[in-house]
Amino acid sequence: MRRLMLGLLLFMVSPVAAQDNKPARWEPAPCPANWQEHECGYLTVPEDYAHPEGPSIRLMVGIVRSTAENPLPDPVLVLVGGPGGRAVGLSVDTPLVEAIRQERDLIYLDQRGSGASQPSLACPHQSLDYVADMRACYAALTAQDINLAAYTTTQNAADVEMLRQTLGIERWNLWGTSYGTRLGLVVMRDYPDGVRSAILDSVFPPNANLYLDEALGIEPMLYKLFDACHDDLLCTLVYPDLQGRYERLFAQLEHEPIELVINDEPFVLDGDALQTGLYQLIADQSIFPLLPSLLDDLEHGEYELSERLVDAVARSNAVHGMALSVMCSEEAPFVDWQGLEAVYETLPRPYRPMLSVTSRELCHEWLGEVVANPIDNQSIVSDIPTLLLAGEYDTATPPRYAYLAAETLTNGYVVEFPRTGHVVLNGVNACSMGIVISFLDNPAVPPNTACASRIHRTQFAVGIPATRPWAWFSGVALGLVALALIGSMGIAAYTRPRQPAWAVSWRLLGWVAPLASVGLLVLTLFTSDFDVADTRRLVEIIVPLAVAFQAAFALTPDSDRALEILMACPRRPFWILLERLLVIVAIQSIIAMGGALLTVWITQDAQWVLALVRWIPPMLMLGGLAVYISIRSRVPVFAMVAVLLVWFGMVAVGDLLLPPNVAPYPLNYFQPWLWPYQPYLKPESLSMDDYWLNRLVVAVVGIVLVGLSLREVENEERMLTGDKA
Amino acid sequence: MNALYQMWAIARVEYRMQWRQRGMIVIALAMLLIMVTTIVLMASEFNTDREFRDKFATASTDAITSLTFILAVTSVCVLLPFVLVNLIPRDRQIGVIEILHSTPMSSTTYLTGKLIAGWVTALSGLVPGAIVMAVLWYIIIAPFNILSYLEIWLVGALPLMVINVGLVIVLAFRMPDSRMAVAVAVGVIVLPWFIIGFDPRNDWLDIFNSFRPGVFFHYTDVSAIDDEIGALSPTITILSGLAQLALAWLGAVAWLRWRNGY
Repeated sequence: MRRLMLGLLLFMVSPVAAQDNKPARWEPAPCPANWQEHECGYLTVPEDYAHPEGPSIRLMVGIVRSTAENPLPDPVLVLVGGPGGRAVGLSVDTPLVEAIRQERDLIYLDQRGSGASQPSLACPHQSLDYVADMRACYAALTAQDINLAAYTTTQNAADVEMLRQTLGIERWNLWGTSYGTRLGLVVMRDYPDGVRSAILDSVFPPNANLYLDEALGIEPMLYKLFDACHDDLLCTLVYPDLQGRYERLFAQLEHEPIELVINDEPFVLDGDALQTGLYQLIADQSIFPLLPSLLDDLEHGEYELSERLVDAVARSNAVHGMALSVMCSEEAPFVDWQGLEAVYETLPRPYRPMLSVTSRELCHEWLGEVVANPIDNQSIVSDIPTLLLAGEYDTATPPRYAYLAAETLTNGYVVEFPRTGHVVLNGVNACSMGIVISFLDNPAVPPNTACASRIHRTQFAVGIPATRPWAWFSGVALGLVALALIGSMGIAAYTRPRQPAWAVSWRLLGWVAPLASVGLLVLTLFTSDFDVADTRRLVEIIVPLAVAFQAAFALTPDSDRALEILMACPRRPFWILLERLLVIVAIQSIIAMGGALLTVWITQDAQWVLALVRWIPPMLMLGGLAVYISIRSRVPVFAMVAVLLVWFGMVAVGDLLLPPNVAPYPLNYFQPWLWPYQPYLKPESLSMDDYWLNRLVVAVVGIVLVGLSLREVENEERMLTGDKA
Repeated sequence: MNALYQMWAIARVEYRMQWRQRGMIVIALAMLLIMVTTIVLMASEFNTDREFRDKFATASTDAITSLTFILAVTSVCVLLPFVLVNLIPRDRQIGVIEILHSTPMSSTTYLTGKLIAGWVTALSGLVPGAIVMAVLWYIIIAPFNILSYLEIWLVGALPLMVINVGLVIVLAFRMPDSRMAVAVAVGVIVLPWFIIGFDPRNDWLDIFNSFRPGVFFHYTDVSAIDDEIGALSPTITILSGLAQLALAWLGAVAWLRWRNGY
């Protein structure tokens, strides 16, 4: 026992002494496929620096060379988080990396146990049961004689120093994210001479009390979500009283949990799962805007978004041996479990966490009885210039961690970014990038951080359930207008002389457009290698466009005599237009039906009714738009251009109108209300009821436009003839 | 020399006609609106202090290159051909061509004059957009490499405009009216896109693709793709397009000479 204590004492004084060990071996190695233009290699280091003669491990290192002719001598070392994250192979086509490369090399290290380093402590994500996955992982790793206790931050920092010495770099800059910041801080503590500066994004200092902070952090962080929604006009209008709704939903799930199905595996969503999931997801900048609509969906009994997010959370929580080794050796031993449970009891139920209590048992299984090493819980003192970045909504490494770390960093500058989540530099944010580049240029000068306060508000997504009443209102209101127009035009067509001449209309409109439709359909069906989903869309993409092109030229000054002259003829323009539109629709409908039957036959489509009718609403809408613009402007080219833009935009990016996509400010206020009018939504992108609602609205819009066009011609007729036609 | 004057006269008259018909004005304004809106929306994402703006010249150049080319291709490849396809069919439709046949002007001169008119009209619709985009981007977002930006327009978008607009004008020269002319534009612009598809994995068939994927994917920030999977190079794409235009023009001239005798 005394020997153990002495050993521990030595370990504390000089945790590992990388420079005293045998030299590491460097051997070039091929880079991942997406990194072919960069340099990679393996660094061989001891698995345990306390026993350098013991087993070795190999660390994958990637070097992204500077684009400068004479790069600066102090490269940037990238330390990713996790623990267990992959570094080599990460995208380097980002604005920040490109800006850094203009002056410096970047070095990416797959930390021990991570990425392509050998051995890998990554465990496959097998199920939604974290404990079962962890036990399977433990069995697999110990069967390979891996010393799980050697995978700590202190050993990791020794690897970093070994790498610096091997590459012959005098000093470098550290760029750590999340857990990488803890590694960076330990490097600054143990090997300060090699560090010029450090950028620590989402700081996780050793003296953080992770478990207690998580327990106490849930309530304020969820309040931040509720407040952010309350501060946003759209969110507060659509999702009022978000806090009350969350608490009611929590209580409801406590009594009646929901069973979700994630990749064919059942998952019980109870109150605790909801709370934990929300807490974790708040930190994700891309998911944060979806959370109010997630709660609303759950209230409405719609679980698609929840299932996707649960799957995402489960994958992000997948067991990684490196993470367990670090947390069980450096965090769990310092936790006062009984005190923690006592704190839990004081928290209101909807804000009381449930996961941490089980961590003690998990760690015991992973590493056995661990003796706490006090240095792993002490703040790090350093005068190395350090930029500490923090996001307001970061639940994983809250902003107070950055301030906590900065207390003992003489030259530490904290920049807190409002309305930003975990890993500030993940977002496309020129402000944070500018601060980083400026700091790298001159770490001794505090950076100008004014732009951080100008980060725009969160733009929340609005889900379909919240806008469904609007869609129904649109459909009904426009439907009434359409009925009125149909009635009025029907009466006009019935009560006035018609002089039909269908054959003339057919001859004038020509055979080219129908032939083009048939040709496009047949050629595309039999020559393109479209998948089944694209093949199903062919008819609705081709035929409405053909109808619109024909409709744009149905009655135009270019092709027909001026309306004023037509008035003098016995065939009335109103009837001529109606007749020609009917001819166009009839001919193209026959083609569309044929095409639809062909696609049903080719794709063996079970939903054949849907296949037969899905082209009708876009045909009415685009045709209506074309004829309306053409009649109003008397320039058919305008109609064609407008239809092409609508058609092209809707086919190419139309699904962006659906949540979870959020349009940039200020378009985000309009986007949620537009899905009922999108002619090219895919049935698989929303529920079948919503799809039919969308079809109804699109079709009604088309009918209204055609009706308005006919009325325009009729009005002109009345005006010119004094209503004597 | 006389033929050159005639060509110039036709181009000038046609150009005026296009502006009087408001088509080009509307399209130029529509493109400007789209560009300005896009820049204003992007500006909120590009929130930074002025002292940092110079640090992002590379990223800024990449972004403006991709965005401009997407907008330029949308207008050059999709909109302009449909707007300008009826340059000659409209003359036939309203009876002007009979009058022109009674003049000593040759069919070749007429066809070439119309072609030049189409190009000049399209160019004058695009140039304001190019200038406004550059100025606004520089002021609102960040500096960028002006030479790269010029390259997008001069080496990327301009040849596409010459090819696509030229092809539809020449191939529609025998059409009797605007309706049939539009059908030709559908055949030249839309049909190949549907049949060949639009991704960088296609092979030599892409030389017939109206969206010119070899150029598009080169300028839209996925230039690495063409090295990896062998999409056509921009040079081959443009040269083959110009060759198609030259062949179409020669065919049309030969046909006119055979039919009209001059």
